[in-house]
Amino acid sequence: MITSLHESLIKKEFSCVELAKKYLESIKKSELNAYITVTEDIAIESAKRTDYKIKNSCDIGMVEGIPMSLKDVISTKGIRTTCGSKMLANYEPIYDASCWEFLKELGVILLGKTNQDEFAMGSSNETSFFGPVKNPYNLAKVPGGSSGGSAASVAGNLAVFSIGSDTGGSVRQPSSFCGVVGLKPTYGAISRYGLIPLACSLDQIGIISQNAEDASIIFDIISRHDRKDATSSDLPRAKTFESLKKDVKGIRIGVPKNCFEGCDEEIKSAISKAIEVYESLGAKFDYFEFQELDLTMPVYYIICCAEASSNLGRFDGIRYGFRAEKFESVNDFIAKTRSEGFGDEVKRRILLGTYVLSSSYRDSFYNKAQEIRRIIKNSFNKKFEKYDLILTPTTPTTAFDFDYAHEDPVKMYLADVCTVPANIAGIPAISIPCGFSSNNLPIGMQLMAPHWHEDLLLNMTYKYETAS
Amino acid sequence: MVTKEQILSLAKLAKLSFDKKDLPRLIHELESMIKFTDKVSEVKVDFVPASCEETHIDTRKDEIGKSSKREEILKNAKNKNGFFFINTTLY
Repeated sequence: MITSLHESLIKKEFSCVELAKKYLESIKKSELNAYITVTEDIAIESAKRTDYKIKNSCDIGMVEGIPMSLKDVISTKGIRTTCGSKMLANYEPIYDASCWEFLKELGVILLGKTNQDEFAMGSSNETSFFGPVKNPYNLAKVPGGSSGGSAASVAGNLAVFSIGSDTGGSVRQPSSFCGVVGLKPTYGAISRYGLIPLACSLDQIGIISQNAEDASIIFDIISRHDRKDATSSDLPRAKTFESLKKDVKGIRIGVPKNCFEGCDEEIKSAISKAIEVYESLGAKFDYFEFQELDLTMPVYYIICCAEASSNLGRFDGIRYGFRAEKFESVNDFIAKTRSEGFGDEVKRRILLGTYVLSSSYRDSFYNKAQEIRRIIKNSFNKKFEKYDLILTPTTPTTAFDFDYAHEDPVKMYLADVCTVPANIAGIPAISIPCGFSSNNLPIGMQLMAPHWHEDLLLNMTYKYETAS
Repeated sequence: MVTKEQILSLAKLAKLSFDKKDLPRLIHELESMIKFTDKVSEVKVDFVPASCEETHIDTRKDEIGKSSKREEILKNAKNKNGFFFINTTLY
């Protein structure tokens, strides 16, 4: 999509302002609630600059003038960045996140900041202070989360692509629910500078797009070493765009059978058909048991909540953000600010994080979870000696109804059972649309690869898109 | 089994406050989350080095660099007079 829009802009089939206005009009008319802030003036100004360059026969880059959206957890200088929370409802960062800076300097058009679960905690986009996002395929269903607004913006043609964040599946799960491509790269591939953190050892910036080619173009731009993020790797990156069309004959793919237990029958059937497509391209499949699967969710929630309880300690209302009006002391001020500013899910996770880090339980929960994390990571390393890729469903169900897990938050956590392992191991993974259920809801499959093999993930996605 | 006292102690550590009427719900939710995560305590592990990402950390030199302006830093603060402060209100 990006390459065809780029060619149309160069051929002057339409102007960049016309393109931006088309998307802005669609956003205004949309019922999806995908955006928290629409940056119309900024978008039109950027588009005018691109049109000026085209008019004067200056070269423009591949992504210049392409309209996109950013999840509202990514800092944008002078543009409200809320994290979907009352706590930051009027917060304007004083610096740009690196991933946004890299795109901005190439002239992309920012349409706005997308809705999300509060502080990226959720799998349905229902915990946003700004109201839930609706699924473009069925307005009565959730779009997934936490990057639900980003996925809905791409699926609903309200942006060409979107940048989200993925801590336990927050790019891949909504991409699956909304029928778009969602890439979570290797930990350290994309700078997290300016990403308001949920859990620093798990968070990674991700890309949501209509297809593999667009994801590849954007990944090659934003995946680079950044000294502002100490965990940004300085290893050289493979250019994924050059590998998109490579032959996939002989690729060995492992399928963990137990990832399909409890899965909708229609999802199993769609993935069986996808496996047939890959087999016709020459890929070889083998089946195994992922023995640590049952442990991944508890390990994830212990580490995630522990890191979140520490990260969210910064929100005290003193320097920025929401502040309580009535209080009796400084401690009372901070407690009231946090209690009134955070939503229920955020407070639940802070409490669990505080519990697992408290002196009585640290060894049996947090330290143990870190040890098991190493075991899971070693298990993946061993599997990748035998297989080039691992294939699973992205989610055990298609998009569910609103209020699905009202009574039991744990029920919601299980929506991420297949996506969480990649975050625990720090490996790259992608969600690929692979069909529809009988009630016309998108189905996604997930491919996981060893560290730094985004090129293979995007190559396999491209091949599936062109062969199916 | 989570007690009311434990919830209040955790809330104090986490700098949160809750209405008394919310405590039964919070106890129920936290118990459910602890039960969900408790599987890890059943796992027997011999010594395993705790995990951290194997990314090479490229630390920067400890030198004075560009800093943000005071007005910018204070931009989002509600109460300011060249510095951050809280108006103490006594009832």
